[in-house]
Amino acid sequence: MKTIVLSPLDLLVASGFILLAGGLSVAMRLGVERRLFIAAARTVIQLTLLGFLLEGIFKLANPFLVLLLLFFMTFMAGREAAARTKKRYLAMMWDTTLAMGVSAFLIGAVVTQVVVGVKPWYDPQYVIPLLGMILGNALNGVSLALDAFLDYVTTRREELELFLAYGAEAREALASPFRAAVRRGLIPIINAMSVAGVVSLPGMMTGQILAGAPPLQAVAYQILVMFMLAGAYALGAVGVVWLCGRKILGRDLRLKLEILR
Amino acid sequence: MPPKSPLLQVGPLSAQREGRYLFRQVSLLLYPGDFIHLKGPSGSGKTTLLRQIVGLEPSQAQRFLKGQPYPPARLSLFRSRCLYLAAEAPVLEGDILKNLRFPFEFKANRRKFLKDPEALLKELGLTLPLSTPARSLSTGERQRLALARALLFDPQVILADEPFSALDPKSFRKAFSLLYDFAQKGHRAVVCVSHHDLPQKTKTLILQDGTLKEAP
Repeated sequence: MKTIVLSPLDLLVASGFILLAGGLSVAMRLGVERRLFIAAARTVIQLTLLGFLLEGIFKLANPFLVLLLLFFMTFMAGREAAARTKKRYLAMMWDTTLAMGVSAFLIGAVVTQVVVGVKPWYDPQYVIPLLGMILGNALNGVSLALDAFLDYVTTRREELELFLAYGAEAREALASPFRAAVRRGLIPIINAMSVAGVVSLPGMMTGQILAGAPPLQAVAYQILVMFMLAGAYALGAVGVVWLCGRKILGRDLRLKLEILR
Repeated sequence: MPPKSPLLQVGPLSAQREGRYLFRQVSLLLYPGDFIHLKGPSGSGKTTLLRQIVGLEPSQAQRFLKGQPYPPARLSLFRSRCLYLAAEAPVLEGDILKNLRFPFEFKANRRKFLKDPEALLKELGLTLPLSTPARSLSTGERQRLALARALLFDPQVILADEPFSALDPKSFRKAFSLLYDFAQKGHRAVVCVSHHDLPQKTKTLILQDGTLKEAP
């Protein structure tokens, strides 16, 4: 099956769209043109670097290099998830990174090794994009859940302290905020699964079809990816609120809101 | 008559705010039947003191109830016996019954049972059906609900922070006498923070200038 190769000239034409959006921002005084151009420039630079990196790693096919890149991706995802919440506490980044890492590596391992059966186990062509997709989505679930959790414990502090005053243990006092937070973290993937193929053509499937894959094979991969992402959202959300709960309501059973900034 | 043994011993308690001591090395000793009126100027740390006793604020305090030590690992159990009643009288979403029943679902309280609440609520002047949404209650009604819950919960000690602040004179008299009888007739103890004069008390403690003193 043939695919059409994009040349740099094609991309130059495409950047006209950014100019169009920037022009609209100026004309309508939206004030976002600067941020728009910076974001566009970041897209070009980050993706180009990634392209070179992936070419290199695909060629070398070294398991340690693959793992190193996966860890780096996890770390960046953890940092980004921590930056997205409204309230923060010291070293929150480690909780988001850990939650994301456990979720992504567990689910990534099952998908690549059991379901897809990648050979050799570290084949970068499969392992890196799949894990990247898991991380990118778990990132969303983790930051939404954490944000909802921190919001709950600060706005409903009196209620939680009422539970504690009547002898609730940490698990009992935090049951409602846990539920609210995990539910919040799962909403995007539930929405995405509900409209998949009806309202939206999922990005990965679109990509595979553009690259010339038979549609049914692309659909099979997309179903796998959706289920995998649902798992990653759930594990990531549960993991991060559990880690955060231990900090915010430690062994001394006291709501430590003073750690939040 | 042999001296009574203390019901509750907590201390030492110290609290700082912005580098300055609110109070320092304070301890509290309660005997069965005690009804203590805790007074002090605004900002002297009365609320902080009560919250430290039950561990909602950090402290180095040792806790003893009926001579038994309650180390941090048994804090839930201590709280279920020495109950802190917050001034805000928070209510949960849901009806009045849910607001009365939730403590009995906690592991620390698995041996306790909710007795019929209606007689007590009526005595407090809360004649609404138990299915009334608690969020629809007024501040005064919420305070009476919180007090009813505490009395039905039947702890050894109640530490009440401004429990009567939103009550009219008639409800105040009823609520006060129920809380007073809880201490006196039940051989329990109550510490009550209040800016109002209280009709009866066994002792008045004043938290001022960093120490806790008995009023003459």
